[in-house]
Amino acid sequence: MTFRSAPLVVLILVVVSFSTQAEITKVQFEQISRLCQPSDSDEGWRGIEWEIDLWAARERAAREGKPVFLWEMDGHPLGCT
Amino acid sequence: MFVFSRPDIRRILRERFIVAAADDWYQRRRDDDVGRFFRAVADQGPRKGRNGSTRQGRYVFTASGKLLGYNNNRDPDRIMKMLEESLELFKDLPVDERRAGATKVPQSTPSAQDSRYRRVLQPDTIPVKAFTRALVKNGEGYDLWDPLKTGPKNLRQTGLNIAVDHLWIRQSEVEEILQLSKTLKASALPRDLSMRIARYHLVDNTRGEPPHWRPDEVRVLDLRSIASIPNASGEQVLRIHGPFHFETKDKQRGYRGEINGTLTIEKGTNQPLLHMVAVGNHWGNGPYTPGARPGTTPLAVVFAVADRSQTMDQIPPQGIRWENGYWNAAN
Repeated sequence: MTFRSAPLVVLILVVVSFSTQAEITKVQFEQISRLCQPSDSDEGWRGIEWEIDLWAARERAAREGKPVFLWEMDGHPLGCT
Repeated sequence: MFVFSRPDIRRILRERFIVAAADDWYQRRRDDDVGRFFRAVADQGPRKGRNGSTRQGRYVFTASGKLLGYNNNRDPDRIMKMLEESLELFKDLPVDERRAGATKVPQSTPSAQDSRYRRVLQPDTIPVKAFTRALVKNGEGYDLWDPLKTGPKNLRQTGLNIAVDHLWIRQSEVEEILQLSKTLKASALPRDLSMRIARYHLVDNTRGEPPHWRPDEVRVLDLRSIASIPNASGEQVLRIHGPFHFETKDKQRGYRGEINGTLTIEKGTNQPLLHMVAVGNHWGNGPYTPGARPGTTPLAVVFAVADRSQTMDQIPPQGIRWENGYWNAAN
């Protein structure tokens, strides 16, 4: 082994050492990512154009001649719990 | 959320209303035009916020602030009825009160708004979706928790769906990670970022608003990143990994597991793509989240960079109500 190849070996050793700490496999990683991906039925509300600024909603309502529907919750209804 | 899975409700909202959503915790407190307008609308209904209490619910009102309908029920039929009745009331208003352009809404500039209760995604902040879900072990893998198959019959049927929150990361924190990765050693993530992920996002929010972890409840947290060998397309890829263990002093609530993931910087951009999976065993209830499964059970949180151009991806993290505590989570 030459000194020029030493950094690459060190990198590989570090990566291998780091990898052995992981408890979940690549398959599990992909499986969990998929299971936690919302489906269309989970997120029917995504098909609606929501305003998250009440004043902007009020301005649009005035401009377009429509009433405002406001969903108000403790914890943001679209993004928290 | 299932209210909005009904096509007729989605259609009437899209076609006949301007649709908005807000966190009542901010709205009922803010001392500015926005807060005063909202409270004036709510005061016309049953939720008058006595002694600063919640005003949550579904409201319909005009641009001038006249309340047309209120409902705090999750029954889609009752929501639909309230929407239809509100439209009838709207139709009965004088034309000069409801036609397009009739109401003049004064400008409300950001500088005139109450900064104590206003959280806006800034250009130097990266929004990351955090999806949480209760799982079960299935052989070597995982599956969705289905209490009809696996749980006691008397268990509350809650916590079945995916909970959504947003993790905010500063661009400077990503740059710090990239700088540290140049050493080719596993480097600890910036402490405030690690603690922000841990305290505010590795929580069981599947049954409502959970308590966040206090610093002294973080027993183990060792999130590290390391640069992988660059791939053929020249992407810079960092692996992120580490164990975590949080537990209350009385041991009644806890979460222990591992985080794995990658932070990828595409060639020629400085746009980070973060994808992480946290999985482990969770136990216990919070004050507002009863109904946890008995014992320690698998819970996963998946983090993925959000599309910041989408309004709903700009929603602030639940934990950022105390802004300083969120950003400086290690303190």
